[in-house]
Amino acid sequence: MLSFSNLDVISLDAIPVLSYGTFLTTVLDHMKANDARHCVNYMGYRLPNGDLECFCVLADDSTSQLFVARYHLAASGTMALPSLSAHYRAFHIFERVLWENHGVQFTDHPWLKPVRYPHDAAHGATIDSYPFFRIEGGEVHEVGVGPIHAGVIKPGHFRFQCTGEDVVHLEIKLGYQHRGIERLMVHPSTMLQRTVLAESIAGDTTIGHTWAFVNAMQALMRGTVSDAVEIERAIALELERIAIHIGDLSALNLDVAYQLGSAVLGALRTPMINFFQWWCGNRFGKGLLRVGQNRSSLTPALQDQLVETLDDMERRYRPIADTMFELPSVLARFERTGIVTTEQAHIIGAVGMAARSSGLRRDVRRSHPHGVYRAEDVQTHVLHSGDVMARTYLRKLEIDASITYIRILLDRLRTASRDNGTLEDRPVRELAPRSMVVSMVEGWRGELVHTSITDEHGALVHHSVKDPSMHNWFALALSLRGNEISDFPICNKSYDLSYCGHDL
Amino acid sequence: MISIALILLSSVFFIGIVNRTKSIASGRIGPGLLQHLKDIVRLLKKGSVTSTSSSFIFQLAPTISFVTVIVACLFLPFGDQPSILSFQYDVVVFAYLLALGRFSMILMAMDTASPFEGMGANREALYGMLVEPAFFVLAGSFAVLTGHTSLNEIFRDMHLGSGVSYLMAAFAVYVFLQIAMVENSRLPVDDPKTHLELTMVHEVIILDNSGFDLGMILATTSIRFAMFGVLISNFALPPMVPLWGKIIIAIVVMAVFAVVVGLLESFRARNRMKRNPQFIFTLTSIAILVFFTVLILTNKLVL
Amino acid sequence: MRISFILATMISAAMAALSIAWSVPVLVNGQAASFAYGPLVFAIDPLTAFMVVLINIGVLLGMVYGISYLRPYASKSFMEALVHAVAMVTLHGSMLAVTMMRDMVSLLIMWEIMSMSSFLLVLFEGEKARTRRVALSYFIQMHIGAFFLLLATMVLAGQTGSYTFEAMGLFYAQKPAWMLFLPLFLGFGMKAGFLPLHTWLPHAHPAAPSHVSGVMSGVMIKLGIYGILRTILFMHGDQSMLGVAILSVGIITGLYAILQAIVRNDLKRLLAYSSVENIGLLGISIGMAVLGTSIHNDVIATLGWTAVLLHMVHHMLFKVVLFQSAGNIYVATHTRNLNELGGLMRRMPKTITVFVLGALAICGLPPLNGFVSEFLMYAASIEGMKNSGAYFSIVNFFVLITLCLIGGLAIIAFTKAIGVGMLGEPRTEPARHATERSWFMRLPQQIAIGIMIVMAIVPQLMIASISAVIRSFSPNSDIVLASLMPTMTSLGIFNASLVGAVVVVLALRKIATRNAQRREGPTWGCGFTEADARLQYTSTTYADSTVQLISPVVRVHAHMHALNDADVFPHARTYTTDVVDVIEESTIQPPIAGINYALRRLAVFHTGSMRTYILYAFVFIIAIAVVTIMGVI
Repeated sequence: MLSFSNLDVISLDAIPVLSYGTFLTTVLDHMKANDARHCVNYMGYRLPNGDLECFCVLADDSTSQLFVARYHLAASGTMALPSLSAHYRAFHIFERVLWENHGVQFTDHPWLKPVRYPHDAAHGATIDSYPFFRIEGGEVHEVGVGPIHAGVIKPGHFRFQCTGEDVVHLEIKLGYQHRGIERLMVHPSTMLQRTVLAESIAGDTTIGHTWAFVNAMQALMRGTVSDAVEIERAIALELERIAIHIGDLSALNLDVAYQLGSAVLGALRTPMINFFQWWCGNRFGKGLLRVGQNRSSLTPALQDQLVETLDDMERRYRPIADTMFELPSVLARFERTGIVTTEQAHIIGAVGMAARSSGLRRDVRRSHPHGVYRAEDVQTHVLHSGDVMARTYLRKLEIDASITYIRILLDRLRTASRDNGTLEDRPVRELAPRSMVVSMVEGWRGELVHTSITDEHGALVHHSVKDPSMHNWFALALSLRGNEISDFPICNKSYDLSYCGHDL
Repeated sequence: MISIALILLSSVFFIGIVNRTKSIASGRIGPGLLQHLKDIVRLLKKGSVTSTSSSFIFQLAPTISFVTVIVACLFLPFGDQPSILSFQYDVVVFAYLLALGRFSMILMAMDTASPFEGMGANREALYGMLVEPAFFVLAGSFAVLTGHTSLNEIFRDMHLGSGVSYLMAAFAVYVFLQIAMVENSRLPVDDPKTHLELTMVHEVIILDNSGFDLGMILATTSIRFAMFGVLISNFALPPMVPLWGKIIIAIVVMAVFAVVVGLLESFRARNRMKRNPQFIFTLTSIAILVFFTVLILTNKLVL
Repeated sequence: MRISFILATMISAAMAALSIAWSVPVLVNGQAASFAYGPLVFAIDPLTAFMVVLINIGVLLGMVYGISYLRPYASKSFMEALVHAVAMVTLHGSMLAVTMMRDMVSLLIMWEIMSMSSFLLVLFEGEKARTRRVALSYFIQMHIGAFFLLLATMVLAGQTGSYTFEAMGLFYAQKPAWMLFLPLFLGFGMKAGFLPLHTWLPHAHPAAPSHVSGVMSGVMIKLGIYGILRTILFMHGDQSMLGVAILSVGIITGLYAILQAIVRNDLKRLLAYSSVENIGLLGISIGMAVLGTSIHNDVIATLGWTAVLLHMVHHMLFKVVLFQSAGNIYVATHTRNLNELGGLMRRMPKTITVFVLGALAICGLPPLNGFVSEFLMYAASIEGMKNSGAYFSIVNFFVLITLCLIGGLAIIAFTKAIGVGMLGEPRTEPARHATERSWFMRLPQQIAIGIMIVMAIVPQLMIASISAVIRSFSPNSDIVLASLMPTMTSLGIFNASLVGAVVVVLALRKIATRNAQRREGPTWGCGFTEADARLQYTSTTYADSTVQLISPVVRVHAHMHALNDADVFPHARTYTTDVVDVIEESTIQPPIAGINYALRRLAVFHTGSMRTYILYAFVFIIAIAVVTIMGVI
């Protein structure tokens, strides 16, 4: 496999085309080499001649390396293949998408079920005929929640197998939204349209996804942005992290009916997202990041305002956070609820804060740093209990860490250069031909991976998006095992996964 | 007569005061005191959708539940003012009326063939079973204390004299308060606010009800809450005060009751579902404490 | 083949007419009557007259039901049908006779006939191996009961030289009561089903055809209660220890049985355990009544005895209703497993409505008759807490808690039976295709419901009609009853007006919603378009939360290949449970296993060769001769 790193542009010709058999053994050998390796993307697209070209990208968190291998499947040849999932479960979601979109039959895939139901799915399954895992015997009952939920949330169906109040197994079926993000990305369109599209991949990860996208594009353009722009982007990302984490803490309090915590924390989310409004005109940071620039820069006035906002937020946030994590009735709900073990997290390839709360150190900001993160001054926390408490407390720790980090970044911003970027005033922005780039950003949920591939004319032929939710939905399913069904809302909220990031 | 009037009057404001207290405690203005009544009136006027899985039980149950609570109210005296209905051992009738209402609501829930309603029905049946001993132990204790067996006579002749008896009454009021919280599905046993199907008890039973029936069910809930309010205020009525004084005392007690409920719900989280049985059973233990106090007070048990 | 059963029904009807005609005057004026047929003396006193009425109503309802219930069994041979019909009449006759005997020996003979005929009835579907096994176990356990009665007879005759019941009076006056009462209680209690002697009941009742299970559960087990009542009639003096003992057995029986009922998935077995629970309630009431009599508290005694007698009739009625409705369900679906039923209310509404009414009554809820007797039990326990010293207060305090726990648990058990088995959507094809039964098959239940409603509306008349029986237990009961009557009248009016109030509110609701739009639609399934009957609570899962609270008492073994941590994508699995009656497992199973083991060992002697058998006879004769010569005998 070809070794490279985050945001390296590599020529397609440098990636050897393997036969599927060799590909399988190579990937398995690479996975075996050490525990810190996991698959960050494995996708395929149709070549003009109808053949299927598939790429598999592995990441090694310990060495900051990425590996890629590819293979071709002739349109006329057999599509029945042995699967990687049979050896490493975490590949399941990628192989299911290949099966669904391109009709690749994996013979020994343990969980070959529909993912997104695109309009031209290769399988004939409909949403009603989803093959749920069932416990037979007539003595277990099922509970089906969704796609329409009691709260204002996106569509998804949760099927519980219960023995009374206890859940034996939870299966999550998504795929209700058919937006076709990946297709629209390569559909002849302008860079602006693509950027706006990237902003809409997941509404709560606007900054994260947009940054991953623009990074990929900038790399393909072989250009850079100034230090100040990079720092501003990092500040925006951390602000987004704080805002969502606080909102989720509030929602967790609401779900355990702790009204005070819910009300106070809910009110604290507002100044955070309002700051975006002042900064860029949109409360979720839409329209801030563009290829080669930020549309609004963090002026000294805004910097002062940010410091003020943070100070005020912290002053109100500390007491309620302390109260919440000391209140017995709240802790009783969080502790030992919805446990996902480190082993399970590893098997399903959990990423981001879901992995970090189950004892897996996965943080792109440290393992595959780009831009400002190369300074390695961002703090990452890992908790080991894997329960709702761990995920909740990790949010608190990350809020604290982000506040500290934003202050560091603000210091650096004051002295950072605003004119050492190479893209700002370059009129023609062509993408490198026959190249591939993998762009990874640590959004608040976890690693966001955008993979772009261009053809010989420098046109984008494939842009693959991987939201952390793709892996982490399975963590939610596992955390319900053996738990009370009434703890589902807090388990769900402790992850707060993205429906649209999964459905694309 | 006075008690039923008081119950109906306070049921209008009760939920309003609770919700208002909660709003103020979390720094919001909150809905008006009459919002709950307005909701009920709106629902009573609306059309309804019934499930194709359900039978006549689904249609009948809300009415039965409503009637049981109204009839139970008729057994409640107000201090020395007698109730409309009364006979010996009517404490049993009082409790069994509530049980009948529960029975019909459980069947109604199971009638819809929905796992959510089944969940609620299951929880309601279990908690109902667990909460009943507490009520009966208290009722039995007061029967022993006063030598009477009807609610009328019990409250007429219950004169709290010594410090011990005040302590006992305080315990009893606490247990009644918690019984009211359980019976009406409030914190910490249930949370009427989350609106998540998987976590509720009472709210999830009525998930498929709509229109008039839903309005009637909501009315039943507020009347039942107010009924416990009057029951509790009965403990605070001194015999020497004139009637208008008692009415004022009762209204104050019930307002305090509502505010206390609101405050309790603001500053704690609800229980984990599996902890609820333990919690409810503690009520019985406290009731047993009351019973033994009564035994001492009546010189049956000499220490 | 049903001809023989119809004939049997007519004979029973004649027998019933005769015995009732003879009993009613006794009930009315309280004067005992008797006639002798050779050495057999048939005597009727108020208690017997009461039992006669109870037995006749229960058996006749059962037999009328049997006529239509037996229709699907046309393939039975004439002989089998005849045996069944004869056994039914014999059971009826022997039960009547048991109540009329006045000495232990004739009682034992009638008792034995009763057990034998009911054994034949249980064996009706003897082509099923399981039924044969159950019938045999019933046969053996009944004879363990008979053995205790025999023992009691020997104790009685040995100490007083007489077998008559009057001798019991003598015995109780001179000796410690428990010496006679204990074997009698064990013998009668075996029939009634007190813990731990209940183990035959949950097996025999489901195995018998439904008309028989109704009679066995509604009527026959009451004969056990009758036996206990009969012997208590002869007691005097302070028997408070005995009262507390009966009461404790009742408490344990009631609580344990209703917990067992909650976890059962077989509808008829659930009903059988509920019968045991009601026997427990009767035990509690008997205990309170004996206590009341012992401490000369006429209020408690009268309330207790009235509760016992009324509840015997009440339970007979609603248990007949419930078993027969369960029979209707079985005929319509060929299953008794609640997990395979569901959706019956929309398919056989008349049967199920009757079942719901029966369940309402058995849970002791207003406005039906079950509430009247439970009301009396509560009244007795509240009086007990109120009127006596700390010891009795505390005893009755336990009774009070037990009563409301049993009430709450019964609600769980029966909402489970109805909610899972009869409401909602059908879980299997047979349930989906169930149809309503004929009017004749529903008639007996409707008659019983009719009687129940009358008993609920005018309880004072019911009590007045059995006042002679109550008087025979508690001589001063008339005064207490006189003061109780207004309460009972109010209770009846309350029951009626509760129904009236519901009707009025329903009418108001109808008027209020006359202009409102009403639509039908599927149950809210969160917008998921594929409905599935699996999305409903099952009988097992409905009971689960209760089971988790009481797991040491009720053990449910779940069988499923567990999902381990690494099993992220599990393979298909099956989950089944089975419930263990802990008491049966620890009291009945070990001796049976031991007997089986011993018998298998003894089978060595059973060679099948004539010569060895002659050898055995020879050895036996020599042994006898030797023993005689040695002067041992």
